[in-house]
Amino acid sequence: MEKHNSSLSERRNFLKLFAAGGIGAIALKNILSFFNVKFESGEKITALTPDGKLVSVLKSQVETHVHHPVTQKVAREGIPGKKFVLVVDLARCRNARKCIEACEEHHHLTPDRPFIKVLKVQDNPRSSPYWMPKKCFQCDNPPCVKVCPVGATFKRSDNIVLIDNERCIGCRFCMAACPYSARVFNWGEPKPVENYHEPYSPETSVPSRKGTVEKCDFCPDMLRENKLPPCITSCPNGVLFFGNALEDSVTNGSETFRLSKLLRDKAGYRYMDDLGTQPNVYYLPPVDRLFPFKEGDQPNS
Amino acid sequence: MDNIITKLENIGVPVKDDDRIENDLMKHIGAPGRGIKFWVFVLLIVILIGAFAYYRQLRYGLIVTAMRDYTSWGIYISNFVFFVAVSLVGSLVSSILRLSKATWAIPLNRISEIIAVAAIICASVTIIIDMGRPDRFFNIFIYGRIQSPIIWDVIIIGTYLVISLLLLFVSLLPDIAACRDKLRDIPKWQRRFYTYFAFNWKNKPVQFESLKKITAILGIMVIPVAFAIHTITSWLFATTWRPGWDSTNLGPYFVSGAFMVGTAIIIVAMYFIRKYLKLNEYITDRHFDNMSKLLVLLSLVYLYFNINEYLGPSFKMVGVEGEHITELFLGSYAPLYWFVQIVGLILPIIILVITPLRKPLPALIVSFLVIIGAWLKRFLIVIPSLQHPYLPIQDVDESYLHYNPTWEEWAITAATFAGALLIVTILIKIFPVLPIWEIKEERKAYKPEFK
Amino acid sequence: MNTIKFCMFLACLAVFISLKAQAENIPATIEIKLSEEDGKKNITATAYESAGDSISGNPIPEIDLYFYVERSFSLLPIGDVFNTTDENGEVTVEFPADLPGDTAGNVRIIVKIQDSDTYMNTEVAKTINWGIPLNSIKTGNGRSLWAAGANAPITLLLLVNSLIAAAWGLIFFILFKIYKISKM
Repeated sequence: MEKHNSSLSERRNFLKLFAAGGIGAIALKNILSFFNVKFESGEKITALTPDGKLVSVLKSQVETHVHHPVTQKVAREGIPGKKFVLVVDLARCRNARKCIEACEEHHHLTPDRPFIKVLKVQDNPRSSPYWMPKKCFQCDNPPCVKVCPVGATFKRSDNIVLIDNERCIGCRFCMAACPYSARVFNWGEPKPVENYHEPYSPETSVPSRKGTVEKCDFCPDMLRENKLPPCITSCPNGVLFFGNALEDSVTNGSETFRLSKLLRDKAGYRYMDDLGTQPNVYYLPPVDRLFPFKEGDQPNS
Repeated sequence: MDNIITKLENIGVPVKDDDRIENDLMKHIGAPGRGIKFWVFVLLIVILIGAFAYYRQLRYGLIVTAMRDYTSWGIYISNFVFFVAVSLVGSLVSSILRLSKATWAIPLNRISEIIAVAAIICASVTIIIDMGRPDRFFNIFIYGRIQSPIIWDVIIIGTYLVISLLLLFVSLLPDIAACRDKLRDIPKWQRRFYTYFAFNWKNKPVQFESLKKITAILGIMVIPVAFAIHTITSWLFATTWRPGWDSTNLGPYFVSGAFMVGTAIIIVAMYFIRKYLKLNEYITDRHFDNMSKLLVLLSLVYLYFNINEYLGPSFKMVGVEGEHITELFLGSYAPLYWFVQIVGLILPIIILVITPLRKPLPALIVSFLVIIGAWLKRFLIVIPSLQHPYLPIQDVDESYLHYNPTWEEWAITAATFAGALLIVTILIKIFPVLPIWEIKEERKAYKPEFK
Repeated sequence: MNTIKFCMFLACLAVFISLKAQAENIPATIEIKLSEEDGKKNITATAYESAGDSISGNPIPEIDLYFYVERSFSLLPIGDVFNTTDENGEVTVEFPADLPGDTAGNVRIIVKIQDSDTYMNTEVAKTINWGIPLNSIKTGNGRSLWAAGANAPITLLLLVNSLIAAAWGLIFFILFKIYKISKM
């Protein structure tokens, strides 16, 4: 008990320190900008955007994220004023698999249970195949949530479908119900996360637990800090656009579009919309592609 | 007079006096012989092996099974569906046949009720075995969501278990009293057991009247519950977005299949009980003939639902649904599929339609075929569907593409069967396996002068 | 392979450009005026050279100003692709009429000089209630099949509970009858 308390106070101190530091940094930045001094710290990384533009990104923005778990109760409600959506521009994907790697690192996953898959899809024999990044569609009529016997998976007001792996009984009904095969199961003991002492929260989904279901969760702990999920920012081709539908805006980190205009102009669609699951992931058709389709090193495709 | 006696014997109501009936039907109760000891020993060994496999599963997780993402349900779930199907037999014989005044089936009442109870217990155990976190079993009651078909299933399984137990117990009351009053060479604990569970039964006419009323209520009530239990089990599949499960036909398809396999199981039970308890006078060839006819009828109904289940999709060949059908009809599951449909469904109909073949031994063999087919059919319902999701399976380990159950899964499945057989064996061993009082009543109904 | 080379070339070019930009950065300021006419919402921005401490220097003609509306994760560009100032250093951009704001309709408009060859990166922001107010999101889900257990549809609750009541009512009635038998 004492140990628990001490670790708790340590964490509190850390949080205080963090908050103080954050406020200090913001204050400093404001003062500096008042004097109109260019304030940029650290290294810059130059990245090529898909439309040929070069952008400089602060390396600090690319750094790995520290999880900030919220309580169970907060995690069940969702972030107010948000309806998160994802737009995938199929014309830009060349199966670079950076999103998968970033996701794996962020969620401490092993390659056998990825939250993101990049599928080779060919709509008909005469059309060219294309790469289709696929994660959880965070449906508005979620089959998985409907069938869960214990409410371990739930739909939040901000569109996200989350899993509480402290409640999941491992019946795998949600996996059977999901028509998009978005869910993975911890068949064995998951890889232990080293040096991680934060309490569990459905928003961070760390650590994984044996005998429970997991899936892509749009990284709500990052969204709480208005940070984009790692898969979005790690994509070298800007395939994935993320945003708040209530703000009518999506961004891939370097470009920002109005969601409504983007979907209207590029004929955005939802995958297998006729199933009635009302996904919150939109696809832009693979026309005017940036890359010709090239077979990757996909096993068992 | 001769005529009437033959008639009575044919329907399993031997023209004997009450004492002899009681003697015949209770003589197996008492100290277990060598045969039964060996049988129970074998069952216990199988259960122990299964328990060891389950220990490994608890320790290492479901990784010890061949289930993986995509094939996320395996033989545990098909075994669960099988046991739920078997449990419907209790309602078939002791309710549907009773209500339709098929008095020949009276001696089969208790067998079917015992099998129903054993099957429903094993179904519950199997579904818990399939859970990834059995330690959180009570979350179902703490956090249960009424919207989930699993919760409907939990509710209906609980209800059906209680009704099945009541059905078995109520009809046992006079016979437990008979055991209490008539059996002499039994241990003290057993006599106390009978005394306690006879519930102060004194063979009073008012008690019989009340008993008949209760049986009638239970008999009517068990039918919708039995239909519900298997229909809801089918909804575990039909409420998902899966090719192969996305069918409105699934409920009646499951229920008709259940009645068919239940009948086959009764025939097998009849055969062995008659053989080992020497009840040839009570379970006659006429019973095998009638049950075989019933099996043909129910197989025809099941065949009809099978045609409904597969014709539409195979005619249309819609996308992944078409791939699933092709896999079943011509692909890697084709040998299993055609074995099940031909040997497990069509062949039994053909064989048992022939009058001379409706004899104990051929009926037994056919019933075994039906049972094996029925178990494999549940395998074919669960696994190939999961292997045909809407989105292609790519970029996965080789082990994710196939499903070959591991020894742990087989051992646990075998243990559930052994468990069911053990429950049946114990219940047969401590209670009269045929309802003595009902047989006596039937005898009086046929020949009033016996009163 | 060629792609990689090309990318490396572009990267070198970018470094060169950014170094160049940093080399000759003249301080600048932007002034924004927000006005509404005939239902049109206009953002007029004027760019000035900063002369010493005072903010009003000479207007900067022929410079591209970038207009944004702040969103959760990024800045949403508005106006044309290029919004170049006239001889008075002024450029006007229409604010899209259908852009959502926060619950009060507030939007933060940002105008920037960025990646200019001669001027320092500069930005100025103003908040105004030009956005479409966000309807207050109702908290707590309505009753539905995917809601929490407590929010199950009424019809489902009624149906299931009445079925349970009927079945278990009968079961308890039978248990009572069995009890009565034992007392006969």
